[in-house]
Amino acid sequence: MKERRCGLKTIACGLCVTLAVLLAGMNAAGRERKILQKRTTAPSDSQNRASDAWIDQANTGTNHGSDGTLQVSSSNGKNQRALVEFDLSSLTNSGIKLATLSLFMSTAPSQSRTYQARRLTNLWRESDATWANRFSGIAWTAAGGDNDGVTTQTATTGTTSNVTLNWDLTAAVQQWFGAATPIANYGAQIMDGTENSATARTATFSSKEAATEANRPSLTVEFVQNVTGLTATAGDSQVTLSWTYPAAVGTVLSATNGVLIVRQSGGTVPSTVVPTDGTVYSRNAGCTNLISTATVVFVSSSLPTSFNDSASGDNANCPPANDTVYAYKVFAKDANNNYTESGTSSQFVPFTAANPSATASARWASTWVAPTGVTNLAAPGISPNNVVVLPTNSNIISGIKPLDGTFVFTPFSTAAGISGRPPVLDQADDSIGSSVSYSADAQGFLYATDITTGNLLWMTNPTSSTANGFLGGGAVFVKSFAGAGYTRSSDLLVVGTNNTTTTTGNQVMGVDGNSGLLAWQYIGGGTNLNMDIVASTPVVDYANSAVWVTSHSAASATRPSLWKFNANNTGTRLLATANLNNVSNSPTVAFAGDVLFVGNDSGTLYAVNTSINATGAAPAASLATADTQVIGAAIVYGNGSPYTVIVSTATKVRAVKYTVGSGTFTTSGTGTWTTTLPGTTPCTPSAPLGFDGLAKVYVGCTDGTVYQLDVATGAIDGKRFIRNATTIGDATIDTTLSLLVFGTSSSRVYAMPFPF
Amino acid sequence: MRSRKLGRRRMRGMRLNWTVFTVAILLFFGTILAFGCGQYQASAPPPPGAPAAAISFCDKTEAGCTAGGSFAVSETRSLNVVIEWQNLSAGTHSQKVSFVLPSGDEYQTYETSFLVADGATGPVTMTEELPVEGTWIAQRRLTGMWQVNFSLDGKAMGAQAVQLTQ
Repeated sequence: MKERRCGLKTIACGLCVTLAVLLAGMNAAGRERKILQKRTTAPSDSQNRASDAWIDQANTGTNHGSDGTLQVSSSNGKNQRALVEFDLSSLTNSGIKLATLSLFMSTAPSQSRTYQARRLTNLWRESDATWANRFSGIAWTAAGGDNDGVTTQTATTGTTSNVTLNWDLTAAVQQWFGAATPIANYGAQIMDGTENSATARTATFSSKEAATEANRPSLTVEFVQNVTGLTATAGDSQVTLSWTYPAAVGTVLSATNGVLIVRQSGGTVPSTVVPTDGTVYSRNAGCTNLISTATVVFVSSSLPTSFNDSASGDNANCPPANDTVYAYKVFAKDANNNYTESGTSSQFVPFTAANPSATASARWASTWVAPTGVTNLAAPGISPNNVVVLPTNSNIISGIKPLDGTFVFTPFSTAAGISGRPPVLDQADDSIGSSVSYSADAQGFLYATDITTGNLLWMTNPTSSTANGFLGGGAVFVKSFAGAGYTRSSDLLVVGTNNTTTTTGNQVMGVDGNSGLLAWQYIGGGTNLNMDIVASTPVVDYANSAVWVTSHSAASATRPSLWKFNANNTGTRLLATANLNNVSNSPTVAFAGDVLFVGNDSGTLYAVNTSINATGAAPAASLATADTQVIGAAIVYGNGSPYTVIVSTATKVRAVKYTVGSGTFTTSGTGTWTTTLPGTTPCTPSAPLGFDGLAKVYVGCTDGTVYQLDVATGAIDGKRFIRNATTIGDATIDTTLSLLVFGTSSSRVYAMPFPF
Repeated sequence: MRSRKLGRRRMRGMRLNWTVFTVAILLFFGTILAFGCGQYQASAPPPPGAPAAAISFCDKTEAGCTAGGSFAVSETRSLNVVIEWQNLSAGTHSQKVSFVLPSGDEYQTYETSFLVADGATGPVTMTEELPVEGTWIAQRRLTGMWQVNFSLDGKAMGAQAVQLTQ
């Protein structure tokens, strides 16, 4: 059966019709009618990850992804199981209350059976899934489908055909959507509760390819929508919050009537702060009404759109104290006092942080805060004023609107965590034809995502191995930016592997940006030079039509750790190398393209001429920073030599100068400085963030603070304390909105205006 | 390190065999002294037949996996958590291993399914690998006493501390 593709508006296509019809038939809801909606989603070909298939133990290599039916069978050594995954992208900003999976059973088994629904725990692809494999060439870790070992729900089949069976998947959808530690959505598996029957007992269900639209699988979800556009403004002993209510996207069961707001000192409100549905909350005189650790500071059932947290405003009982960081979490609620948490977690309920102060310059508020579930220290990808792409270690990518922190697209699931910055390209620049983000995960999968819709444009595992994972991100050689030396017809994504089981056989590969097909690869070992792990993101050198990659070198000073590759399809692949010992940081190519700078894991900063064309080439200059390691990529200022190079080390931020051809760094004189970061034991900074023309440079530190340094002097002239015992990750700048966006070890990403 | 291995405790009827228990304790400390390898078994010994786990850590390199309870992030390739499951029923199971920072924030969670064949006896050993070299852990010096939480089929089975040093 040929693969179908459709958008939600395409009435004549597959199960996405179900959703489209419902949307079209829903109320153009006013604010008052939007909450606790009920709607049906269904596997849709508009996103490749929404899928169904069945797998067969008797034919372990046979794929049934395009069949019009799903089969479930208990038969000794010949069991069959169904796999179903739904696209939840239309359920953004919601607390999940109920989710029911419905499958139409066209043929009942000859004897009534109990069918289990189990949550799948690994990424699979509809067109590849078999009893043995989840992806082409990649096996399930448990043949027959990786599931969570827990029977989520059961349904009794009976022996009557042409009936619908239902399973309650609420817990699973809540986990996919809003758990404190979000669990990736790989869908569910339907299997007989007692497999291996001596006599085969088989049921047949309609799949999303079934001819009769009404019989296709569906997932009915009830949810409560969060408020949107939450902002905070800090003042003198006051913080003002404002928000809006979203339009309904489903059938309204009970209208929104207001909000419940909790407050907690410190930079966050834990996800364990969860109001109980059906409970009426209030703020009391002493503000001692708590939900877990957070104080109830405001409850209103009159659809308010702002809250002034001050003695003279809406909170005479317990106004905020100056010079204290407060976090606020805003739960929308409906007339029945259902709140926007998902089960036991408020992970995705909007919240923000603010620091009131009598001193105007000391006041601040985050523009928005977004959850990542687990630690996230990678710089987010960004298209300024368009989308922030958040990679996470919890196997989820989400797209955030930089202006207000709302989802551009619902978090979607990857095979593994992503710890490198995903490059983001605008449609006007790239060759794939839509604005795109490329992500690389720790199981070796690559993803191209349309950042406008969240649609998956392609995904691939170019080495068909989960051992060849990626720790750094990908670099994109953009055709439209390239000179004549770049002869490929489309963009090229370049990545390097982090296979920790080998210090010699790691590889660097180029993948076609349009198709995901492997264009070339360089595999260490054999007749090639040995290559240890690649922990960094490659860098494109447009001036020389080359790609630079750093790697570790098994801690050897005589093995390559800086690699220069030819990006084209033809010609010598490896152009040059340098032996710089272990390097975890990306290099930075100077604006003029004549030199690059890179620091290694032993604290040495190098200048390397980009014209090198031999293996084992000597760096042009080196500088022992007197610190134990260089952290992150350097920032390079200047359109031409001499350059100012700003670099983070284990405890310091330094500015040095370098003149091409001089053979040495200059560490004294105007424009050079060394700033030791605060703390009895100085905190360890992130990579520095800044750009030529910006008078400030920013680093996040392991003391939970973002520091602003003056580029000319290195003086710390501003800071934002986020939270104790928190490590601040590498930041990204939205130059249009003047926002810093950075992740933290406390499972949150913050957007904050700059300069401080 | 608070690691401990209680050893296999046997029940006869409802009475506890303290002799065996004591021997197991001694064997445990002997193991610690001999190998320096942190291991854990769910603190309250499970009733016979209930799933149980023993957990240990090692630094995996090309040369093998060196056991320990404390690891220097500047020298550790990847921290492997080895879980030996016992008393598992046949079928598909799923283990979840969460790495928690000294601050209490979650660093990363891995969920892995595995199959126990019909009629299989003996323990099932699963390994979860946390890369360290080149990662944020090494780059940003996320050192201190980490905690590793582990669960089976959605049920918490225990936790064990592991020290990461500079």
